[in-house]
Amino acid sequence: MSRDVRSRVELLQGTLELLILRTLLAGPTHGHAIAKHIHRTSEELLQIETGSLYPALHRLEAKGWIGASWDLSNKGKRARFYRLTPLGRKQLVTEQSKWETFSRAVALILNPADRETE
Amino acid sequence: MNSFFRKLRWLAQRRDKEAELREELRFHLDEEAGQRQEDGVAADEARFAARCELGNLTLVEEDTRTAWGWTWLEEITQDLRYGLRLLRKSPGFTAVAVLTLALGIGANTAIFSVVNAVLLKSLPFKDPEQLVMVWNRAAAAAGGDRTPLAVADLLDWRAQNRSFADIAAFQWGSFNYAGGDLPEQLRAANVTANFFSVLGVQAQLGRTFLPEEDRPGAQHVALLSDGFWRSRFASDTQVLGRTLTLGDEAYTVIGILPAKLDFTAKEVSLWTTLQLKPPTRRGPYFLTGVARLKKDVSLQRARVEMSTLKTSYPSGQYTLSGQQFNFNAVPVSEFILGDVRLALLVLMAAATLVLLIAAVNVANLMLVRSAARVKEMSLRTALGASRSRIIRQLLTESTLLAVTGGALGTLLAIAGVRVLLKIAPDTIPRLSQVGIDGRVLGWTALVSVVTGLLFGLAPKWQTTRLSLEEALKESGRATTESTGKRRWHSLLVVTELSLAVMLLISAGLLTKSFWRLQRVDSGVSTERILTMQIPLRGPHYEKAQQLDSFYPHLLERIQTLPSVRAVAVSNSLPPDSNEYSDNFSIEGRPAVPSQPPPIAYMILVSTDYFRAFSIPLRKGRFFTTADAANSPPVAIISETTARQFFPNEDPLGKRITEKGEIVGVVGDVKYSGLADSIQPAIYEPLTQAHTWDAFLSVRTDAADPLSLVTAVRDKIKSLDPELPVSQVGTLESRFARAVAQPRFRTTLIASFAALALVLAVVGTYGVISYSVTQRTHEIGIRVALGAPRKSVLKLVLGQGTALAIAGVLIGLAGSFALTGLLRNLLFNVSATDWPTFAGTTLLLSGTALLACYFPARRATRVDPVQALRHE
Repeated sequence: MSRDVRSRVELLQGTLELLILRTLLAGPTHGHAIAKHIHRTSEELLQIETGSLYPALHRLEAKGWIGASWDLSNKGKRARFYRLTPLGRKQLVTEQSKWETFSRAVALILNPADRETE
Repeated sequence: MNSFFRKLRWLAQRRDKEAELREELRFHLDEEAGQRQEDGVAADEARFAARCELGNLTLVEEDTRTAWGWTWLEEITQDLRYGLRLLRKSPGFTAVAVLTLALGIGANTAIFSVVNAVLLKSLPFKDPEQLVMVWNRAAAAAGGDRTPLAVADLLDWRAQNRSFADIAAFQWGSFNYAGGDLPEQLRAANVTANFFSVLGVQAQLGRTFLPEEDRPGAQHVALLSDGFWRSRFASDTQVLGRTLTLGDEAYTVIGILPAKLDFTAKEVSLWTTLQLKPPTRRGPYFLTGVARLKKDVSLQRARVEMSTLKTSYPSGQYTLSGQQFNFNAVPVSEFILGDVRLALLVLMAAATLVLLIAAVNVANLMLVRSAARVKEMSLRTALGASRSRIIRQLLTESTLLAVTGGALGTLLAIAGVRVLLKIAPDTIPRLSQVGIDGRVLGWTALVSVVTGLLFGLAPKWQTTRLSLEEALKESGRATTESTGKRRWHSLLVVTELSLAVMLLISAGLLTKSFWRLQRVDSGVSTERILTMQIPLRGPHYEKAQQLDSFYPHLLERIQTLPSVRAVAVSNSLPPDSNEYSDNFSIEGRPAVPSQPPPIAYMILVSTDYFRAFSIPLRKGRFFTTADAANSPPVAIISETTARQFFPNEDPLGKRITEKGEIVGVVGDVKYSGLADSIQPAIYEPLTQAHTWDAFLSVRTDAADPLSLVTAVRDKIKSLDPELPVSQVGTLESRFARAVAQPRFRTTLIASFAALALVLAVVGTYGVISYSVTQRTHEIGIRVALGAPRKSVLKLVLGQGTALAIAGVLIGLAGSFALTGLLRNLLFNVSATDWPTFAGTTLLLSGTALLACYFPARRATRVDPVQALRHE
């Protein structure tokens, strides 16, 4: 197997759900595509484990943040498509601002120099 | 709420969801493989890589299902279904385990149902913890800790105390009642008017007493007990206001008391008021007090305060003068339950020990079975089952066993309670309320589940700890038992043996105590004696002369009956019925002011009393017909009286001031219970003293004294058709009644101990037997290498002996620590009675070794060729 060794980033607890919601903002798609999209968009830094992806999808569905329906994939196969619900859209906004606050706070602490030069 | 319904919907569509999930994951795999193929990987390799990337498919599915919520419910149903299938597949194991548990849980539930009714249900009074019984405390000879109160005490205490909200008092009594089918004697209680308000008890119909109804000269009023009202008046509400003739007085019925008025074990039919005259001196003493503590006053504080109160009445000449009296109070629950509480707690502990032993036995069985399931478990682990999931499944199985055992145990308990009630003495209070109710069932459920967890956990811990490799390696061929497993088995055997030792020793002590109690020399011969009580109340017997003419006629008429050997009337009966004790003085000996006057039971007897009971004459003579009312007064004393008061002189010819000349000394007789020490007694002839509460005793030649009952009753009727007769029975049955409670608890403890012994022996047998099976291979090698049969026998027996010794030692240590709790239930047996300890040790180690012997013998017959080929 010729898999190159990538530097992978461990996902923080709860981040996966945020990423899924954000991915679905672009439109309905299936689980595999979600994983690929996250992988690609993160410049291959984030590799989503199947073992956590599907539980997360079903968890979000149980919360009512996303909905699911069967549709044909672009290759013409039956696939389970997930879409954002209005509730999920609202949740995405909250989660995203929470994350941004958090990451800004962490950044402020890690790089105090940046602030001084500001 | 929303999510709840969504879950419900999902639950309904579970099957579809499963299929969807499978399809979704399949799509994922296809997609992944397809992508890899596009990257130029060969088809099958791409599929394989995709599969690798996905990981444990079952686990992913399971994790995802968890996201649906409510999976725990599904998992439990799954576990239950699986557990049931497993239990059905090994019916032998299931039967033994369930039966063992049922016995343990059944015994426990049965005893708990008694404990529940007698000890746990709160007393039917308002705030029962505030209620205390109050007495005088005096020296043992003057009445002891529960010396009754005088009216003066009651008035003094009511006026002076600051600890009690109110103090009431009562006295047991009886009435002759001719309103029923037969003349009968009713048990009654005479109480102060505030008695029911102190208890906080309301009448279920009508009212209780008014404050003025206990003054002298007040109108006679009576309350009926629920039982009496139901049985004699068929619950007729019209009975209120009606007049009952009790003795020779008319009483107006003013109310019916509630059914549950557990003030005594015995049924009291009637409650009337005491009519207390203002006292002129402190005595006499005949009341028992009931008081309600003020809120926030502790019993301790009340005791301290009460002991400082002073009496405001002079001591009279005939009172227990010169005695140091102190205030004594105990909680009402202690008064009502007495030593029944201790006995029941001991029984409960015994039943719990039996249950523990049963649980240990089943744990052993589970352990053996889990050994056979190691492969299954390792396979499941390999397939991704988490440890907690496996533990949960195994616990479900053991709980399933325990609950089945519990259900069967409940059935056993229902039968057991019926037997219990049949053999239980009626001196245990509140027995009528014993039954299987919600609380008992709750207890059984709790006990079952806890037991299930208990015996379930031991083997589980061991199974789930096994590493995969180890398990797969070991499961193929077992050369010897693994040491870890053997340690578990040994631990369990030692545990159950030691528990059994403790139970056997307790049972041994109680049995020995009971045996001694029964063999106590009461001083009389109990065979072939008919006894009954004839209370001479009413207008016919107001004057002493009327008694004088009644008794001789009665004796004379009964004497003429065929097969009557001797007939006697007395105011007391062995072993525990005595009417009164009194102080006395000996002529020529001035009383020492600092010392209490001597006290003795005063026993009034007719001439033939000693002959009827075969009481031996030690000195002098019995009473004769010459000791008539107008002849010089005489008395006979007991040996103890002679020893205590005439240590170095001849009592014959001396005079007891109030009674007369001592003409004889007779053997000691127990009048205050078989377990109590002998108290001094003075006998007086019935012709020279009077009693209205008489016992009639008939010694007969007939094998069954009860065959005379009708004839004797007829004779009594011919003298007085309205005279009630009560407590008809043989003297032997009176003695049996006196030991009924010890008999009850001893029987129960002994049965529990027997059960424990059987369970422990079966457990030991099972473990040793299993170990021999596991070691067949090892033994085969030993024999093949030339080990003689004897050394094989020694090997196995040695293992058993070590376990037995350990179990017995721990059990002995535990017994030394615990049997002290039994002390108050033991009569003439020390709590560390060495013969009992030694005997139990022998019995248990003997049976344990016997249990090892059979498997050991089987081990010696191991054929090395077969044992080795076995692989």
